[in-house]
Amino acid sequence: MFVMRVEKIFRVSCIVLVLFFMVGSPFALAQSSKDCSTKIDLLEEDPFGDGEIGVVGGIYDPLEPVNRVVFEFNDRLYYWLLKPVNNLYSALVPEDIRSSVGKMFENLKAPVRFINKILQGEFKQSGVVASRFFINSTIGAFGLTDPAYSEFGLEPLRGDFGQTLGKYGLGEGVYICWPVLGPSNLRDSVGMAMDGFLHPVTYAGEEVWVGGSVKVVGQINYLSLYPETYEDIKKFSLDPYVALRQGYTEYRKGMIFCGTDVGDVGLGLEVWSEEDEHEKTQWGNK
Amino acid sequence: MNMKKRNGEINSMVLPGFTKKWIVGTLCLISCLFSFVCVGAGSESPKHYLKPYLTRISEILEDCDIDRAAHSNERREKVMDIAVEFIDFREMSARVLGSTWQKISINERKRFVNLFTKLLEHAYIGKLESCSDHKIKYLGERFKGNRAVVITEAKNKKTTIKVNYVMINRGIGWKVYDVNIEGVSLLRNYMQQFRSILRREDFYGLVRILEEKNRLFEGN
Repeated sequence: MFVMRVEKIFRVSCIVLVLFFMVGSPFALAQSSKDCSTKIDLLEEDPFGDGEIGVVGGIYDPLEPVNRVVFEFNDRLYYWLLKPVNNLYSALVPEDIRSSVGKMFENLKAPVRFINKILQGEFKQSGVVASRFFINSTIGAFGLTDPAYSEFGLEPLRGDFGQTLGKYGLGEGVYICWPVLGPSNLRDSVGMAMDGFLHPVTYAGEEVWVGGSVKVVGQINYLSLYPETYEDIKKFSLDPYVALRQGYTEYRKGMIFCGTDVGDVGLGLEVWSEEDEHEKTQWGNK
Repeated sequence: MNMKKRNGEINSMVLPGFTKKWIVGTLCLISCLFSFVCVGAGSESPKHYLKPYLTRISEILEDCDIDRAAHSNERREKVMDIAVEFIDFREMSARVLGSTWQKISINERKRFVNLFTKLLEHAYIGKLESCSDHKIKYLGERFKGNRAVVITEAKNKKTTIKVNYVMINRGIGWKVYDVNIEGVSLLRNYMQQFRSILRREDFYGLVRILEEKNRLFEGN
């Protein structure tokens, strides 16, 4: 019964998506044909130059008090549960095997990336994604190795529905810190949900928990390969919540505007919440 | 012969004039060369300015000898000695504080620059302790006024990381004041953190937090 409901929701979502992108695809194609380096110009505005400056952009975080509570919860969860599990997993499974498992999970996400690249009008990149998937699934032993990169020079590409929505001009919306899942925003949260429908693992078994469990294993494996990422953020920052919020937003913006292309990825972001006002800063002689 | 004699006379008559012209010409040439050097130093490509420093740092980091841990402090000092030559920590400090920089005294600014530089040293130079086989590929540069960005990739067998260096030339050569890694600006990240702290603390509160953070690093 539940599976039938999921299938129905998936079919309706697909129809809505197709209609949406039939209308929006010319716009997306026009956007994607622009040179990446002209989309985000690190030097376009100098918020620190002489004279008056204005707020360039913004990370809208009206839910900051709630987000900070969730951030603390996630922090406790990391140290009490995720880190011990990660340490045990790393001790039991050698790094080479964990690396191969990581590559396999990345390979499984190829359909998500492929569809999103098509929706973004990045047909050349979608070809690369498809080629990588085919090569790694065959020669690469179901994705356990990455001959597509090592032998053919096809670099891994990133693509998700949040990125697709961003390329269509949809803004981030409010910043959200989800329990367990971590930093996100309204647009990327919708994107995550849609990618969940596109991910093959979702349909791994008849029961939802099967696909969910596989994804959890994938996340634990990923964390074991990059164990210091979160701890470094905490170690090197004075306000880890802000550091993570700013880092996440800029990273996502870089992905949306430049993808894997070379170009300037500097951003003119200022943060404002309900407590702040748009301010102009006078920058005189130092 | 008369002509020769005449020319000799003429030559002896014009010699002082010629000498003057020669001296003036030489001085002009020297001035031009001097100007060229000055202008050349100021207008040197930021990429060519940055490259030698990054190469020197890469050579230090690629030295994966077994006594790496034993020479940790020495290596960190070497990297920091190079870093201060091409990174403008004062510019970074001023930008990261924003409008607060205008409100504090010169001594407070010096104190903040020292603390912030120390924080960056602990956070990032310390992070570079691990052996690195990343090769730097220079992809281009762009200018706007007295600012520029140098676009690079740090690549090894496993990963490719896009790193952009944002530089400024205030007449004494190009200096880095921001590093942008995969879209994330170091400067803006700290700027937003400091702004968040300054909403609830004053400048001295921020200084206390910085000092405590540096003490934690030094304690470890």
